[in-house]
Amino acid sequence: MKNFFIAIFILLSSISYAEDAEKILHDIEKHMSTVQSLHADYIQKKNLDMFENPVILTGEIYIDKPDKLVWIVKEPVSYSLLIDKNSIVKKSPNSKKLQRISLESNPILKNAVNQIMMWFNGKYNSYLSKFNLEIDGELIIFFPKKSTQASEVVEKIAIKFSENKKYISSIRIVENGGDSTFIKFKNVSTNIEIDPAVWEQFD
Amino acid sequence: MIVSFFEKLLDLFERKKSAVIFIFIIVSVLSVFAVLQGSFHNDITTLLPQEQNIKKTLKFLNNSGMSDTVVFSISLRKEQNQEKLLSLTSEFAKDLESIKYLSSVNKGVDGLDYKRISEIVKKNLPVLLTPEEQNKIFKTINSEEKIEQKFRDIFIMLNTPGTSIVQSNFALDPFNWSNIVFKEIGKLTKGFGFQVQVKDGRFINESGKYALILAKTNASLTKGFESKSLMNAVNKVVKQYPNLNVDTISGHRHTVSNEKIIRKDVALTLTIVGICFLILMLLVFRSVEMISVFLLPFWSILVSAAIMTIFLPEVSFFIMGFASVIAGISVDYGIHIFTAYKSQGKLAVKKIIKPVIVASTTTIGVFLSFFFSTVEGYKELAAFSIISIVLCVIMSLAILPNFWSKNKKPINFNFTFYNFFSPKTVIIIWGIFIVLSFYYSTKTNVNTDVESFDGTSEEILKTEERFHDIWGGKGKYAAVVYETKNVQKGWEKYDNITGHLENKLTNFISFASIVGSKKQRKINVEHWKSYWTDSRINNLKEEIGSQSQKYNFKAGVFEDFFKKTIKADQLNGDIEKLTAELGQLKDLFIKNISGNYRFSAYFTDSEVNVGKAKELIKNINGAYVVSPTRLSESISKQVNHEMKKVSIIAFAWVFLISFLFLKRLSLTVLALIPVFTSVLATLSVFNYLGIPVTAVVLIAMVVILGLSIDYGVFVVYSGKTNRQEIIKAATFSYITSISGAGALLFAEHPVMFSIGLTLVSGVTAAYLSAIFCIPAFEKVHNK
Repeated sequence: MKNFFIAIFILLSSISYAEDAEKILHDIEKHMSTVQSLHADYIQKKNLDMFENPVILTGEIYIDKPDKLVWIVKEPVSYSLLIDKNSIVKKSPNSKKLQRISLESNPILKNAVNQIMMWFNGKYNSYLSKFNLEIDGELIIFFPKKSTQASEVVEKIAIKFSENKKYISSIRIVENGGDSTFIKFKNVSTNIEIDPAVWEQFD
Repeated sequence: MIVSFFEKLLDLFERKKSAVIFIFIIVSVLSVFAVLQGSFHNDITTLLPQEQNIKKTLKFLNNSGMSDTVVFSISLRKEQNQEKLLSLTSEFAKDLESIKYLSSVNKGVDGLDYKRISEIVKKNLPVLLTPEEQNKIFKTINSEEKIEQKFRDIFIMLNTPGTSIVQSNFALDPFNWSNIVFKEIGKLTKGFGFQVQVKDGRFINESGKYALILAKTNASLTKGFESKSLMNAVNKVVKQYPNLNVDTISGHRHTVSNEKIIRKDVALTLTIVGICFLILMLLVFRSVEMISVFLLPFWSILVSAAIMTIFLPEVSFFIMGFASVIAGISVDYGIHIFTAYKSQGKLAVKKIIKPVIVASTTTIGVFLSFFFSTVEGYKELAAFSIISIVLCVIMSLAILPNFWSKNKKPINFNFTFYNFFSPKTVIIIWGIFIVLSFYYSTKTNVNTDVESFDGTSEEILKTEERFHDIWGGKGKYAAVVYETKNVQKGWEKYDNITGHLENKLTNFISFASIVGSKKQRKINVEHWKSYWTDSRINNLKEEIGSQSQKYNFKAGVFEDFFKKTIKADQLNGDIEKLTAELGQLKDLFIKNISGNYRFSAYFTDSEVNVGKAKELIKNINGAYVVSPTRLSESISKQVNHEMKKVSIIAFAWVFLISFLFLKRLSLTVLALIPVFTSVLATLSVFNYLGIPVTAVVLIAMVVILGLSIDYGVFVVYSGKTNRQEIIKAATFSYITSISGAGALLFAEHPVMFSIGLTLVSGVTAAYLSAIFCIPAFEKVHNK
């Protein structure tokens, strides 16, 4: 009988956990949806098995929701990327020539771009079926459920939100092989009018 | 001679009434049994010419994969929750699997694992890339600057958020050479214009609000029963999911819908004909014996159908329906004989034997002319109609009169209205009509598009329209096809075809662009090996080593690139794995149909492209172009040719028989007035109403030749006997014909409607010109 009650307790706890998680993610989505455009400086630290030492990147990011993003890298190399739902366009400062990669012919890359867009749009509710969650204040850690496609690559994704929950303040992705990426955003301005030149440089 | 034969037969059967009844019952029962046991098909293409190109195109379309596919486009009725949509779609797919007519149900591309495919492609670049493609990529690394640029790109890519998952691919293929192969795979998957995306291995549309299921069926598209069973089972499953909107797209829905509509139309026709007969029977002939005349065509159709099922493995349901409408008109002979019998008994019947024989012989002759056609369906139609007519004539002339009484005579209507107008007025009105009809008939629009036979309901067409709006795929594709039993030889030809057509035709796609034949793969590998000499490998190693250091890569990271890609030597085995991974995609291009391998490459179906393709492959033996759009043109050309041939023979036969019977050229010309008038009238009516003339209309028009001459022969012949009696019978037979054909004007099915319009306009013109113009011309001629 005791076991029965424990089982019921666990069941009820998991139901209330699922409901809580859904509520929290819904709340985040609601707050993030109030932001249509964003500009921030960032610092990215990347630990890749392929690299001899961690790579630290600094730069700026512009986001125009739902699916346009400019990723500007200033150090250690200088370049800009325009990422949208169809392609990635690269611009180097010393070259007028743009390099365009179509996502149609690269499904793996397309999947990656879709993920990025989802992070910044705050649509985490769809993560519930594929990830387990750990919530600690503004920090949410997503652990991929077993047998999902994400579990083949990712160990966990930790996203920290701003206090007002309107944007991501940092994100850490830890991959199965030990590789990791940490991006911290600072000087964030939301709902700003982005200078058209930011996009036009890729035309 | 034949007249005296029928006279003797009539007398003989009078003496053997019991034996006749016994044989009649036996034949009827056996016929019902044979028809119930018979096998029927619903393939409309049996009515199309069997010219080689048309045959090939139809065969290609039949085996295109669409004829055995059922597609389900699924969305949620209320909410927009993708997770719920995908989960309910999975349950729905599982339930579909229990349908016995569905051999497989596919809700996604579980097999199309891009990660696995990517690995195989990267390890097999020497096999997959042609010498031209290899030369192109080698040029991108032939200088220090170029290699540095490449390494900068790799560094950037690896530092772009979310892209580190592709790093294992960089180690194997740092210069992204495999992109050439992936571009081709992308071209092939998008090639048919469908906008299907794959999310978690599941088919969804761009908005993410619709899911897709593709099911394969073993139910034959041309078999009504199987199509109906399949659709009933599918609808049953659909009903279990009230939260889902399910659009089912399948040729089987067309089959079921067409059959349902034709059945409804036939029932409507029979009801109207029945009412007309009842009115004639009760108010005009005042005799229940008239029922025998009415039922005679149905009986002869039953017996003919039984005979056809015995001699043919499968009888066309459509041709049977068409022949039944035509054979129904053979009730005319019964009416003529019944009218004669009711006026003067058997003596009058014997007098009318000759015109009935001549009229039926000309009609049979018209059908015989169909045997000169190459279209199998026309021959089947002719055989069916001839048997029906012969049975009707024998029964009406030699058997039925023996069972009729002379008690009640029909109401004596005044049938002198044909004299109401002066001959001059009649001839002037007829002349004006002929000139106008001739003018209109020259502008007739002939439509031989197979789709014009499709009478599918509006609801199904709207569903298909909605499907294309959601999933795309509206474009039409032509194909270059090569068939052979030897897969390797076939693949070599396929390479050759692809080489000739690639980059020359709009939206050209071929599986050979991804995987070539064994011979081509060998050429690719040899070229690769000859390029990668030891010194070139060492130079590249050195360059990569120095750039790696510059961009913070660990030493030896690209070792796999040299070991597994540059020096790849485990060549052909993995390619089989690749073609297996791309299985679903490959099947669209290379298909094994009962041991025969069919290789296809597709391109946009336009006149320019088809012309170019034909020119470019003219020296490749055995390869041919299939164009669904051009199919209509080929059919049009062939139908015109066939119809010209059949009409000339039919007309010659009609003329010959009429002349032999009437013995004078002037009388023969008079008897042909209804023929000439009905053909022009029918064509002009179609043109006036803006309805295109289809192959079915052309066939019905040839049949009109036979029916029109009946009126001509009877009226001209009546000059020697009793014109009023003949015109009375002709009027009754016209009323019955027009009631049946006229009912078809309310038909929903386009084919039934067009048969109705042809018969109504043709028979009306023939009847009016026979009863008004022939007497008028006779009078003018006699003066």
